[in-house]
Amino acid sequence: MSKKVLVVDDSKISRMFIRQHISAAHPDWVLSEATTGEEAITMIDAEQPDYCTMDINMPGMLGTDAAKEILAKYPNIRLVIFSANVQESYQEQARALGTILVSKPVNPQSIAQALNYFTGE
Amino acid sequence: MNLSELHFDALSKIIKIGTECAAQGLSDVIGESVQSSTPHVELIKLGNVSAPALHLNAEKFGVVSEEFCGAFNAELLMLFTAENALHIVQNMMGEEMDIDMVREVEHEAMGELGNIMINAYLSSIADALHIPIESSLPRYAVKSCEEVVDYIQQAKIKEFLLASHINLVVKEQPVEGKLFLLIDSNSISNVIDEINQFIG
Repeated sequence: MSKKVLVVDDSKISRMFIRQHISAAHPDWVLSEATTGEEAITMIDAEQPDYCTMDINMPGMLGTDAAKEILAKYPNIRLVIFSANVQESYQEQARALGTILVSKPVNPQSIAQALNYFTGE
Repeated sequence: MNLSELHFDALSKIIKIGTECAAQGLSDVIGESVQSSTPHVELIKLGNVSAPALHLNAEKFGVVSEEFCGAFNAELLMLFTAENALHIVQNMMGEEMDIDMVREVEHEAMGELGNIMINAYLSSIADALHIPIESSLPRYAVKSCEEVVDYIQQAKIKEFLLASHINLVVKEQPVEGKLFLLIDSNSISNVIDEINQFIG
């Protein structure tokens, strides 16, 4: 069944790699992109995606703050935090949000981890 | 500031682990094993910074910088020679991409690579010392050797430079990487306090 995924990352390269890997695994899924936490919140309201990948360190709002707001409003969205910053304190923040922190770089292994979380495997 | 031999040894070990984690980050990005030497660590006063002191032996460098705040305030610079930076981007994007396209995406790709390597370095230090550290967004620029030295000498509120040099082999090509942590004496004192708790 087709799913909608919102990819939130200020890095064009990261968005491109996330798109490539997810599309390769699920060609029927519909992907959209946001480059800031604020834009993600607006797009979530409009598009109601099933899944979301969220970078932490972006211009403006931190990804963890955007994720908190999104998950409070839409608790059924499966959201993963995608970050190069894997300090224990950030992993704790992800756990507190009820989600997981997937370590960048974006590669087949990290995407598989995100996809497994999305689909509950 | 005078560091005891024990403190410099502990600091060097933490920096070496961070540098090795950064090299592992590079390997994860390009999806190939990267051979690495044991990093060489030096503490240099900013007044003594020069191209020879920093072993800057190329004309141009690709430089990614990020600022940190938290238990210590610092700025980290990651340098590759400009030629090595292009080689790394080519590996990152796939060898089928021609060199003109590689040059087009160089800034974006090196910014993201730097973000991954610097955060791998930072996360290992933060976790080793049990201190949370926040980082700014990465910036990438190609700088001449003189511009790198000027940039470091003009850095605000920084007094010391913790330099780690590492030799890497990426797809049979030698790549020399440098990580320069610009830091002030208060921040070094804070790190030493953390190390004291760490070594008991």
